[in-house]
Amino acid sequence: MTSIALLALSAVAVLQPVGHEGPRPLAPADVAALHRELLPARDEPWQTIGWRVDLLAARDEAIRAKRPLFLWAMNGHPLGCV
Amino acid sequence: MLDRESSFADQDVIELLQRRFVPVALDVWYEERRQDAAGEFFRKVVAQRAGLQPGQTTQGFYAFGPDGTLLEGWNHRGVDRLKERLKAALEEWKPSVAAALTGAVDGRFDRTLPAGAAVVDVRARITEAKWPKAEDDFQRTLQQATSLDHLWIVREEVAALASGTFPPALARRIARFHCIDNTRGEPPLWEPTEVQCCDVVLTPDPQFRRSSAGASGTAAGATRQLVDGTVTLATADGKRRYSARIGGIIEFAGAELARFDLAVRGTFEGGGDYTRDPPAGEFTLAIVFRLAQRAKDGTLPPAAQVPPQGARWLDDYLGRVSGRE
Repeated sequence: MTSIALLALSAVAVLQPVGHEGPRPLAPADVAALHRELLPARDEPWQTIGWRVDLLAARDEAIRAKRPLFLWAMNGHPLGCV
Repeated sequence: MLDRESSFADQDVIELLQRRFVPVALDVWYEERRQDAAGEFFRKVVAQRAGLQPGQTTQGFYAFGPDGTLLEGWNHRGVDRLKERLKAALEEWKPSVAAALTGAVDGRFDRTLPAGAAVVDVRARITEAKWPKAEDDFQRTLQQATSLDHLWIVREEVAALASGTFPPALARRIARFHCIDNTRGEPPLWEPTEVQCCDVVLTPDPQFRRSSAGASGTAAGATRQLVDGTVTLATADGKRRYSARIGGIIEFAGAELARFDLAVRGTFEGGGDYTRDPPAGEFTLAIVFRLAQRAKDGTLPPAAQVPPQGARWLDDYLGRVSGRE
């Protein structure tokens, strides 16, 4: 009987969804580890392009430099949002 | 995110844009709505794109002159296509005369950083999940994607943090607008009624020594606080939810916010209209926060000048009203 009960308890434990007991606290070492994992280790190539974020100021610059403009337009800012 | 990691990471594209163009990046949500010179100029340019129907999204890529004449316009991904179009635009390009455009800015869509506010980079990634097998590079990239957004902390909130209090309005802003799965596209944000729990507290770090003289290696007047909190968010039907823990370290050098290293990690479930195909069942979503790095002259890099996605609803984002209209 005891063995059956233990088996049943084990099955319940295995079937519990992730995070059932609530998320664990994040100690400073956990925070540092997540920062290492998610933050870029160096300048990302797209950030070196020199994007402008003000259309009319960019237009004035293009007039002075005699260059065309290139616009990357997204629903949600291309340099952020997602 | 996909374009940042692919097309705009290509060295030929980078050099073309740096040397031959003036590159601009914009959120069409603002440009399609604003009633001012910038909005009119944007709409003049994009309306020339072949095949663009009224009411259709103006998302895409455009090469054009300062007089508003479109050289090339398209809305399909691909680094080879991008290079071809850029080179074609340069062949078509002839400088022309264009006068300055002036006039009042449409204040409804002005997202100037509030005076004294701090800007924080926010990055999110799904770190543990049961993904279906990726069928191509596109899916593989999406499954490993790290998003980028920005958090604004207004001057009064910076002062509250300095005094050892985590402002409730800042905690709710983090919960509603930044505890989101934006790794695959523009996600649904959380409504006020969907915040079931949002408690964040600061405690002085017992390991951090205060020094009035700065002789111990600790700057004069420097303080360090540890952050601990929980956040529970769920839609009424329970189909999208996030239960997470918040931790971190906040440091001040005098009154200046010198460090804002936060992390959020917990169990997420569900997706949205533009964040379809989430992992099966529950997955772990991690989010990290760090002050945006300023240049020596104090200016922010272009990406950090982009307002938070949630600032489209600025009054709600800053806690002046509750709920989006």
